Amino acid sequence: MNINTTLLKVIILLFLYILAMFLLPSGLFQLLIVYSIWIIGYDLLYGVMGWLSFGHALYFGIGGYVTALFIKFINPNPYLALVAGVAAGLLAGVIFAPIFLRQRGAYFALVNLAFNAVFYYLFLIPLKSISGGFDGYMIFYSTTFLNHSNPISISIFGIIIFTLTVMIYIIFTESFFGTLIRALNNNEIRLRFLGYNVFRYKTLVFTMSTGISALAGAYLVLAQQYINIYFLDPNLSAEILLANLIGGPGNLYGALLGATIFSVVKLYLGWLPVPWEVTLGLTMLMVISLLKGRGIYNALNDYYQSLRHHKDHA
Amino acid sequence: MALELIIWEFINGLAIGGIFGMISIGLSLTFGALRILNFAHGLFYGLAAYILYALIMNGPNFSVSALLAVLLITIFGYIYERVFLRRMYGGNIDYTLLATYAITVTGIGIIKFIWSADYKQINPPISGTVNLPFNISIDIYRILIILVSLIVFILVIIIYRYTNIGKIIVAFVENSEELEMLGINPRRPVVIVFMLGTALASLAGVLHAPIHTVYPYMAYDMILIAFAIVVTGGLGSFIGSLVTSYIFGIVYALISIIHTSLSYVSIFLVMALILIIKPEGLFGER
Repeated sequence: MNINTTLLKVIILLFLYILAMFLLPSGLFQLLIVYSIWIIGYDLLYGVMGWLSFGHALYFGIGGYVTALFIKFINPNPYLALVAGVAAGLLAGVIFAPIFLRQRGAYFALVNLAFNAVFYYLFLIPLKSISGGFDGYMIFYSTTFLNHSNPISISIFGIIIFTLTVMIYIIFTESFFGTLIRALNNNEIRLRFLGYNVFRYKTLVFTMSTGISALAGAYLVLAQQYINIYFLDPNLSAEILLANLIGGPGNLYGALLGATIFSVVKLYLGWLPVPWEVTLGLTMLMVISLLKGRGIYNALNDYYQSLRHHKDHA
Repeated sequence: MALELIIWEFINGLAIGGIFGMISIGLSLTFGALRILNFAHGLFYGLAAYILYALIMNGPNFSVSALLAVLLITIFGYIYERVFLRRMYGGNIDYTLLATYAITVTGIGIIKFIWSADYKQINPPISGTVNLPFNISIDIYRILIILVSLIVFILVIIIYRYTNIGKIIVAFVENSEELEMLGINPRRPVVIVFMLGTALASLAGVLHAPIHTVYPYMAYDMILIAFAIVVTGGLGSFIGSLVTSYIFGIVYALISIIHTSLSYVSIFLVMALILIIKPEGLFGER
């Protein structure tokens, strides 16, 4: 893809997000930003590299909790706290990579989930004084440009870090590195045969993914000024996966479409009188059976391509 | 004193290990025979405990309710295999995992909807204790679990090694096309293996319920333990799963001396340690 069209697409994308900032209620918009950032991190791992994870709420929660604790105990500056949260996410990725990345496919997915559950229980009971349990606690950071009584400033800050994340994703996927990662998805053995150190690339992508997930968690803490154990809830891991499956894995616009649909659905279907798990599970089944894991964006794209193909031959 | 507590928890660990073993055998068999990682396997365990609870509340005594619960869940497993799982054979393992995961999440939601999210308590059917040397008295029910699980494991090994069904399954895992060329339809043995796994999971649920609390997420928690056992024991290794079940059961019980909520966590730390040293698992081949 050439640089100009990429730039144009990103500008249109940002324009849409800025438009959404003015049109949507600020709570929904900030949720959208959180899911959009998180899904970019998730998609790097699942969509681009093809490694399914059931435990990404772990990194989301680590980012959130480190940010919250940093503000509470070390320094009330929100930017430093955000950096600390992301650093913790990256560190978690570096530490877990050698353990997790040895497992393939479904096992990788479940090892992630297992550790997500471990941290959930660890924070829920023995570390309740730190996590605040189900009740959680409020966080007050010092007022800079980010002002907790001014939702617009939080939304603008959200757009800034979202733009950064999109740029990282594009640089990652459009470069030679991205080609390597997609090749890794298709045929790892052949890539290894060509002399690439496959494990190093996998570690890098995994770490990027955990770092960006932590960024999403850290931003949610700053936006809500509040944290509780739901940041680590394994159901959240299922949610981000579902959002990615709805939109279309392996593609920036597909992933963001998924995040948009999912945050709206979550806000409005949460009111249904059935438990959230039932909605989540049944939607997931439907999405898997209808879209075969391709997502709405890729399905539409296929349809469009087939139409064009048809026209060329007519 | 401390030593007595340690011995007591060690024996308790053997009982818990038996429960873990019954669940992980089913997971391991399904994976070995069908190449499917059935996440909903834990749901059978959780549902069995809830059905046992519902039955006991409505009259029948423990053993009748337990038998009924196992029977119901096994039938449920049969329907599940017929309607749902058989569409997945030979498919991408990621999608099977996703679909069975979605089923589990839905199932947990339905359990919450019917029985609410709070903890349920079931009394053990036998309340006596056995006195052992060193002043240790352990309840008969735990001894019963240890014995039942041992009998079950021996039976499963006999079925697997010495019957026709076992031989067909081994052949099916190694080369299903050649098996069909011999004129043997592997579908029926496969269904039987699946139902055996389901029955074992529900038996584990029924036996575990009185010494554990019954709560909606027990399905979730247990499938993760079972999966940890299968991975740590080495994929497809039957003996590996059994040995790891007992190791994890004993670790689970001993750590609970320090703090009960740490025992669940400790299992995954042991798994991580073992996988760092031996990535293919204890009895795995690579």
